[in-house]
Amino acid sequence: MVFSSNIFLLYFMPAFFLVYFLTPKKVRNYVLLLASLIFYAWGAPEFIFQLVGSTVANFFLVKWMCKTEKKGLKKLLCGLSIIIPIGLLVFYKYGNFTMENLNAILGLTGHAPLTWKHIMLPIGISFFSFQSVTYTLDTYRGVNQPMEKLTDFVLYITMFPQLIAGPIIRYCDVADQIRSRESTMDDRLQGFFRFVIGLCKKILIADVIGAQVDAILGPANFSLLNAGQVSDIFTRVAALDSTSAWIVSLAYTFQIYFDFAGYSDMAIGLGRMMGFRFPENFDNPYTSRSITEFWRRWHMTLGAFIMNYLYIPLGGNRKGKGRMYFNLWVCFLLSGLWHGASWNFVVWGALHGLFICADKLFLGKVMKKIGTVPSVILTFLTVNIIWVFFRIEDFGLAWLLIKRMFAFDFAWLPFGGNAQLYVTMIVAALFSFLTLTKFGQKVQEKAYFTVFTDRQSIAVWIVAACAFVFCVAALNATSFSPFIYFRF
Amino acid sequence: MKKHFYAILCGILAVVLFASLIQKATHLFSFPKLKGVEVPAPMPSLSLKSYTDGSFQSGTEAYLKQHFGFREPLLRCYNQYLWDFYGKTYVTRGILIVGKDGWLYEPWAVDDYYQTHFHKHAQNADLMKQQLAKEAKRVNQLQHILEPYGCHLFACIVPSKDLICPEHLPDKPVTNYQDTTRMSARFFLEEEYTRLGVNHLNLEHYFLRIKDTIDYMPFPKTGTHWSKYAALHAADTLVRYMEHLGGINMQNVIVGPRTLTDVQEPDNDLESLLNLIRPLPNFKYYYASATTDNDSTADRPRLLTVGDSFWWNIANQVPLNNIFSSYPYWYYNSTIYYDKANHSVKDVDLVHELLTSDFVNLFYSTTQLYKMNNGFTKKALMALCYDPEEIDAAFGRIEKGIRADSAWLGKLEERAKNEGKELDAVVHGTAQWLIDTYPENYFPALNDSIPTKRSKLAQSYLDMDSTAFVEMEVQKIIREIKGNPSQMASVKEKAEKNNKTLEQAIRDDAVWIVKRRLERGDLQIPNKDRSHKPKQQ
Repeated sequence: MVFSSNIFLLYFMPAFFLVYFLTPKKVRNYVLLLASLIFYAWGAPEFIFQLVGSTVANFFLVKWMCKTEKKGLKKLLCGLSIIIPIGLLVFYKYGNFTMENLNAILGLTGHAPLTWKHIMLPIGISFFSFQSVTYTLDTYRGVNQPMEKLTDFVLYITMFPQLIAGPIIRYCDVADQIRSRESTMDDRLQGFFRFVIGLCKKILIADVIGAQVDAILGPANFSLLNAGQVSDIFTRVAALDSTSAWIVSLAYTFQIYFDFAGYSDMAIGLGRMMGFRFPENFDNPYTSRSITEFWRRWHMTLGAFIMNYLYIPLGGNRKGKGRMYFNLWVCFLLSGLWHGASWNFVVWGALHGLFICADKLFLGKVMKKIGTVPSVILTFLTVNIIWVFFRIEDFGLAWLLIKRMFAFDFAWLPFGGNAQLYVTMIVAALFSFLTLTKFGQKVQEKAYFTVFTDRQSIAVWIVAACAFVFCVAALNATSFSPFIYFRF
Repeated sequence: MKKHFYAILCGILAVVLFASLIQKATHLFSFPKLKGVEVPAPMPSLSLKSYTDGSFQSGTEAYLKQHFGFREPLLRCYNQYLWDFYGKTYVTRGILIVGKDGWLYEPWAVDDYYQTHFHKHAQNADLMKQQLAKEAKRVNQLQHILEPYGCHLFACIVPSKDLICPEHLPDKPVTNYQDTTRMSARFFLEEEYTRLGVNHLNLEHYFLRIKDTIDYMPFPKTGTHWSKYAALHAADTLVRYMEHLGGINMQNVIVGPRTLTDVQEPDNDLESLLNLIRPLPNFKYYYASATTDNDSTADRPRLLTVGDSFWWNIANQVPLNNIFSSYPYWYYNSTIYYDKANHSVKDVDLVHELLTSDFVNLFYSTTQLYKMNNGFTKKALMALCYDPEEIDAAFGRIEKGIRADSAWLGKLEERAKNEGKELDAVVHGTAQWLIDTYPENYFPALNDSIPTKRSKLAQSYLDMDSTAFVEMEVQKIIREIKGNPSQMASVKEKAEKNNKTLEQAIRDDAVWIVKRRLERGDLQIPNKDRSHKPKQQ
């Protein structure tokens, strides 16, 4: 189940909050747990048992780990507790990728390929596996005590607002809230407002822009297309003028941000309605002055995870400069791979790693010198070009698009003057760069973090309710495509 | 106070969240239905299999997209917003393109004008030409086979909006196809028809010729079909053509006095798909009613029309019952209209329908020509040239061949498993596809320029042999009984009761059914005179 669907917006969410708020506080965690399991089982019924099973196993392993005094056993249990979720992640997410590459190597060396059955990827596995790891390691390190109740731990892992697409919540950030939390009327109103902001980002911006991107570039994964369809996509991209090529790449840059940030906003908003304070996941990443800063603002919970559980354990910057660059590269290569099991993600991660190292070497200083606006523009354009490799799995096509961008063959108002696309992209740009100004920062502060006065609450309520209704209308109108008569 | 204030706000918020559910459950408010036809998404049934394979979930979500409270006003509001702000509609993704000056077109009409339409349906233009040439040959074969039966087959090519009103088309095709070997079926098919001598009436020429001299709009601004008024004139031309083709005298179509009024349905059929709140500003259009001249000496032939939706504006306006003795309409060669006995093409006796018709009209608009008469000509040729037993035998051979090929069978087994079907059904479906796609490979007579082979049933119509005809019908019923387990069980019971062999009991039942049909007039023995003399009123 995804948030931007009728079943969630019109059925699951209202029903859940009705039951949740009508039940006594003591029971609410159970209501949330049950709803989360239903939420997951709706979209991935075949994996619910793996999710619950691995979570339960981890709970008892960590409990045992905390009880034992033997250091060796403690380490062993800690390792086991990490291997279970990471093993599942590696198996499900990288099984196909590994086999495809292995067979490619076997093919090159003249050996027969191995046969295997295509493995389905359980939705959200990248997120709940990492959360499970944070629990184990934080407990092992003594940052927090283990959960006492199994249901609380299962709830931490499976809580539906963040189960599918994050934010990745460290156990220590939310442990107390799971045990006890308050949800005021103001929380509910602000949470709903935040949820609607996310919904608008997703439906009114990301989906609108994404439709144009998909119309040109086709689906991200070409494995579902036949040779003719792939050839059509290449032909389309080769025929793009430079303006169109830039619009397509910029459109994707905005699409991925508003899609992902929108989802995070919805998750944070839903959590807030129940009294949870989930960590922020995005902080205006396109206003960054360098790639290093970009990674402090983009998918912040993933950045924090990589920093705490990968970069620092690898030695961070404590073992000399050479090792630091190596560690950074490893982190970004793995970060790329975490986003998807395909070589284009590895390249995407490697390019980011490259620019981070360059920042440390010289680029950071250059960016500081040239001033805010030029450095923001340069960083944004760099990120924009690197996103091409994220979006397009086929390197040939990605390179073709980049070549078209730099063909200097510009045209006026391509895509038939699609006003909705242009207006939406302008709105997206406005929201992306608004916080470069003080006024923008104030607006953001007000919308996201301020406690509203009574009058503001009324205004916020009206805006949120109207926007919610408008989003539901947009969500359904885009798929409504009737015929005049039945055709055969 | 503050607590109450927030409680009220949250309460109202809850009402907003539940509003759709409440409306769905109570239908408290009523709204005009959305216009257009959607493929209905039924509520799927829940089972362990449908749940675990995800079909229940996806089916439910599709169902909920079509069934939620306040759907109609919400969609209309959003459509109006898109239209007012961007002059755009999401309906464009399926069926509608906004041209210049607010003129609406169907996307395939735009593509057809720019000759990029066929690339969606064939890998390249040469392949498409081969297929069209084959179809033209089939139409020619069918025309010649039907001639001795007094049945005149002709193709009526109806122009789409793009050809008559290209000045309002968008500047580019909808399809971003870059192939330079563009083509359109209408050019090629007409060339082939002319070369082969196929009877055809191209109304595109008619409308282009008169376009600058008429004061009415052949195509409405916000509709896809020819205007109702234009269709009346086209009907008159069509009747004249049939008179010429059959050498007979038919009722004249008389177009009554016209009035200039606001647009009427279905002249705004594309606009209605926009599902807006406010109607679009539109032109005034001429409308008139049609009658016939009540000529008592006129012939009333039987017309069988196989075609697309352009026929509606003729069928719904012209009193066809005055002109024709019967006029069944096989819509896309699938659903049957204006025929009390039959509703679906798959249930009719094709040979009987063809050989009792005086005219067979292949009536397709230019954008639908690539559909090659929706398989009508292939099926008709097979039925006229081959006996059902021969067709069954061809199926048997193909299925045997499939089963003997382990690689092929393996693939079909996998497909059967994925689609949750029986292997036998998938094998049969594959054989059906092969026969439908390449009939000439399995029925060699169809490769002749004009096949001389006839099925026994078709031959019996030629010979006017009523005994042979009745025997054909009896054999047909016997096959039907044998293919129906419940009927077979009942016949078995009768056979035991009356101490007959099963074969005898089946035959007795079949003879009884044929007799009943003949008595009731559902079945008619071919009339020796029919093929030469049109029916009298």
